[in-house]
Amino acid sequence: MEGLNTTVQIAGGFVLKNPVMVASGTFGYGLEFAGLMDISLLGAVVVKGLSLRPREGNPPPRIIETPAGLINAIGLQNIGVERFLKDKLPEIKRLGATVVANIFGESIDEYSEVARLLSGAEGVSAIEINISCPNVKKGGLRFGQDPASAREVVEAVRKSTELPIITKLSPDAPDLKAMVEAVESAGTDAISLINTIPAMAIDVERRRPVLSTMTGGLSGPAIKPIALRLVWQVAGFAKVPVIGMGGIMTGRDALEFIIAGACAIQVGTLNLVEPDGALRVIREMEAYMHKKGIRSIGELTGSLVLPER
Amino acid sequence: MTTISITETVEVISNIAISPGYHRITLGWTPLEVRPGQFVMLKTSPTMDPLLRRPFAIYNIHDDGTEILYRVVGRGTALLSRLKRGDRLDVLGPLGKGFELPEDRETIMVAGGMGIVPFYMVAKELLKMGKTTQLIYGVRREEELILADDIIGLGTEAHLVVEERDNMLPTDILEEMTIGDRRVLACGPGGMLKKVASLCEARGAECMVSVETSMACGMGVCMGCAVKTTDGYRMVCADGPVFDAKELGWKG
Repeated sequence: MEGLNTTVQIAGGFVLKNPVMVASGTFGYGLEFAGLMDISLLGAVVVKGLSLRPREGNPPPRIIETPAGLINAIGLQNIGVERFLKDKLPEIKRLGATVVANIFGESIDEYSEVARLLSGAEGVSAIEINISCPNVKKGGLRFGQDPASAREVVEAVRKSTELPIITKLSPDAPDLKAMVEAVESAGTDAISLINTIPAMAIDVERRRPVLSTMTGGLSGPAIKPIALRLVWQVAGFAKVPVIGMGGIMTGRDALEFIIAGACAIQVGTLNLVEPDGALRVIREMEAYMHKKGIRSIGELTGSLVLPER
Repeated sequence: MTTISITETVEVISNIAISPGYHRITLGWTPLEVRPGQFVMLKTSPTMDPLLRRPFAIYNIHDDGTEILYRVVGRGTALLSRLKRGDRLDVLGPLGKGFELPEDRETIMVAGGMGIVPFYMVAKELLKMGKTTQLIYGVRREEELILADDIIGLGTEAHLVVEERDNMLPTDILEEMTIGDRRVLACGPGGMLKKVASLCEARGAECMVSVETSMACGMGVCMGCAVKTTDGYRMVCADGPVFDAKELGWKG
């Protein structure tokens, strides 16, 4: 919309044309959506989590719908960083998207190697470190629950890349303040949260867990109020920019996260239901700014008015 | 190979019960190109609960729209069954890879229950290609045979089996039949598909099966609808729903 400034600077040269990114694992490698929408209009595309080698993922069943939510246990099935760089990245760049590579490793060395390979390539704007996946046995959430381990991962990635680093946090970390301080001191440029919430569903007829892995990660509108509270709290003490996510379905949902203190947001599960939903979120945010006479999205970040005491 | 899919809000032309629990909905939507065996994802409610779209096999396409036959099995399909003429709903599709129909040989269609749905378009396509249409269809209860009326109306040679009445399964008919060099196309319950696949393997016959799973996105991005193949996990929505039975590595 004319006259509105929706750009967001996350770090150095990592600038988003608008604050709406699409979350890892809900947008494939971006190309799957190319026939349905113009992906260059998004703030950024965060691609499916990449590991050093291709990963097969978990056995089915991998998903179960719950009220206003989805529990998944995909297990980071992906084609591996090398095939991503060769087959996917050139094409997604040709379509004009800003690309954030989400990375995952079973060891600290693996995180660092994936980051190194990505930095050598043209076209990746930032790296998002996943230390919060609840669906893998090794790595993932193990690093995301312990500040010392998280620090080691981020330090190792920091040494292997000059790209801006976003560290994606789990809502399941016992002490989020210690976690944020750890990843900040290790050199992260930004924090994103929340990843899915560990969750479960049981088939009462068979008295068995529905998912093959017993538990999975809950996403969707069901988790939005919890995500919002966590983003608000973290934004209160984080020194680096915060990217908020968790069940955002509308522009108003996104604005709640921005007002709570996020400088940008990610939409995830919405992409699975409404492939071009992220573009609607952008339009709805712009309409709000227009109506309220807000010229720059930055004016809204952390603009929460606290009740008088 | 893949057709172009779109997401669009479309009008309900009609939505009628054809038998208790079984409905036929016609959407005012005609995609440019549909292959038999493809499906659509329908948002059965505009609210956030149920959240996800539901997959439905396409039954028929004509100038006025797209027909879908469905059985009410849960909350999503119950909501769908309440839609009236003039209501609107969101459709994403056509999706997936359909049945490949061979030019050089005849086919046998094997269906169980709602597995009949994709075969109406398969039969129409086969007739267009100048082929014969042969169907083995199994249902649990006699009143479900109504689902085969249209395909029989096309002139399909049908072997009908009612489990409760005949104490038989469609695979019992297939077992007694000479398959020869015909390609078997199957859609129905998992147990039936496995049995069909093993019968075909034993006779050295080609066998394509349409697999059903829960899905979230329908377009290959969430990786929720994985099925084990000889080549690792593949997605029912984007790599299927039709697979060569050999790829699924089922052991009879």
